[in-house]
Amino acid sequence: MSSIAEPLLRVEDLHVEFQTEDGVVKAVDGIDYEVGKGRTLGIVGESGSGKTVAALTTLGLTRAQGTRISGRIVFEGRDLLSLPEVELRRIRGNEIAMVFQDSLSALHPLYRVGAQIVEAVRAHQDVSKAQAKARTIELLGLVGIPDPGRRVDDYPHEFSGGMRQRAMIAMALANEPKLLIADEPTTALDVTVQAQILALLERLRGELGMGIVIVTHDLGVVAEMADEIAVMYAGRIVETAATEALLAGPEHPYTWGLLRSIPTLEGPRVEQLAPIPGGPPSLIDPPSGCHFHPRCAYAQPEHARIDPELRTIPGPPAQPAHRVACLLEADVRRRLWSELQAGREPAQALTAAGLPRAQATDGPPESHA
Amino acid sequence: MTRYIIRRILWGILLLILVTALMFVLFRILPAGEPARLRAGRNASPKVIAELRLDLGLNKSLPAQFWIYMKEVLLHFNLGYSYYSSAPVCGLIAERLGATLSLMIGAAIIWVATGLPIGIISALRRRSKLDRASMGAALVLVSAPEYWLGLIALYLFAADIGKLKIFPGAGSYVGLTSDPWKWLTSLLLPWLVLAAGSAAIYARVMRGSLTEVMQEDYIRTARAKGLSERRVVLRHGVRSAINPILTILGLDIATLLGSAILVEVVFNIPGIGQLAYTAITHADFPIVQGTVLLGALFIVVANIVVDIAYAYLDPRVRYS
Repeated sequence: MSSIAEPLLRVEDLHVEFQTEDGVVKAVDGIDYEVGKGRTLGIVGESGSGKTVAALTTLGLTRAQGTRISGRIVFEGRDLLSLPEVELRRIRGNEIAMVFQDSLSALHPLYRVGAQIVEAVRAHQDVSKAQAKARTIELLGLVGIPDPGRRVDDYPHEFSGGMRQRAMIAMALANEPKLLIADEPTTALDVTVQAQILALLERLRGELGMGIVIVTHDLGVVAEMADEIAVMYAGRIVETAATEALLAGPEHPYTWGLLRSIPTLEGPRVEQLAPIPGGPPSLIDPPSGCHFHPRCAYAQPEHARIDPELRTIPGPPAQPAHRVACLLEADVRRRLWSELQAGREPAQALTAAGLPRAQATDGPPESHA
Repeated sequence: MTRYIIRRILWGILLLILVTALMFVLFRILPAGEPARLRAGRNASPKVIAELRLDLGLNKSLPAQFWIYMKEVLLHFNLGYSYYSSAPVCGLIAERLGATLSLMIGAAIIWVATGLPIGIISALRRRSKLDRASMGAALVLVSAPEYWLGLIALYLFAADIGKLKIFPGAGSYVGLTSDPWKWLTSLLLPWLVLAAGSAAIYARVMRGSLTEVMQEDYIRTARAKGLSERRVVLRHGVRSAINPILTILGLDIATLLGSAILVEVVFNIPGIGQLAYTAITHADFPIVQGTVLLGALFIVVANIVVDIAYAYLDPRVRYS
């Protein structure tokens, strides 16, 4: 069935909508991405961009009354969206496993850490409790928990944050998944522990050959370990490329904003971090045209009417393709980015690029006309 | 933990002593009628009454009476003698404890066994017809006082006076040891009446608690492991949702004696409640004190048991 070209996971035109009292929330609004075997995809976006919903939907965890899901999520030739719950359950925690953000709330507070991993093992393998426990101790050792034979009987509150996240990863690895989805795996951790967890994931990917989808708001996290990056905004992917290509030549103004809001050690010292003005848009009633235009410093009047498509950028073909959903001309974008890199403010960059002043640079995102 | 339990037990004993003292003072200060006069009958001469006062120890000063009473209670576990029948209070209570415990334990089993499943199903099927129906019924049952519910139940279902003669009526109680089958059937209606209100509360609390727990991140983790929904709900959801149930169970066991009094009176069951009720109407202080002390003992013990159960159920709770 699966040819060499067939990726491990392929998401096609995924839509996820939630029925709420205030209206229909379009949490994911038509996204496509692929993850190859042993590859890492980083999905980056701010809170409410739909990145977590997309990840949860892969495992069928958003299935509920009042949720409408369409598109395809093909995992090794099977469309997960059309699988019945019973069959999906055999894949969950087995072939595809998930690591969650806040390990204190994601682990059951009333059960021992070991027991929770044993449960994960026994959910998919027909082994005795003793065998499952031996496997659990082995897993805890694998993720770097010291003295796993003793710590296996601890409760989650007796673990430190970093250890809990390691335990979470051990649980996800229990059945040697082919795909690991990590939702903000380092957000709740100290910077040093963050680096350890990322190094651990990197190591395990190499040892076990899993594909990894890492969902985060932190471009710095994926810059380190992802092969490809997809930037999400308001339920859509606005830019996607190989990590080096995206970092070297970002095309979307939102990606620029993300990059400019990361402190760097190499950059000019007194450089001020530039936050992106405004907040995430409403997903019930998203802005017209380009969803980012109310917050975009370079938006032109017609951007409020035209909805940009995700297109491959002109230039030499790349694998994977560098694609962006932006209405600015490619050469204008390049000029703007080089101006920004030279340390100029968005307004100065605009003038330098020969564009008229933008209509709105800040103010509430809902104030679109 | 052991030290904590010992300390709790010592405090419990102190509390019981204070309760005893309070009851003693309360019943002798409040105008409840002169026991000697009540016992002597309508046309008794002052001389007879004076003799009775002497017999019952009522001529001594209040502190002296209290001292004698406490000495008996603490040293001999003797709760005194009825002003009327002169029977020992301990004996009277022991005689009737079986009926009351039968009533309480049976009712508790029924309300837990009905309230919790209804609450769980309601939480999982929120806004379904079943949820609406059971929560509506719960509201009615919570609001209905036991004695009223008891009378209605007798009116509807009692074998003697009921519209549908299904259950044995009032005064049919038989001890468990003398005839288990009659014991069971005679208690069915009282159990249901006593359990109804609590079952309704438990269903509502369980519904609320489980609804909240099912939103927790660790429930999502459990699902992501590929566990069956049944296991997710029972092992992960209900396990956490049970804590508030434990809290109200502790409180309920304590106040249950009060509700049991009403049900015992309505169904004419010879239990502690009935004993207390008759004793109060006759100003039979030793019996009243004995039953109140028993009630206080219930509360203290129930609280200690619940606290220990908390530590057992939730590893994050550690008493020191």
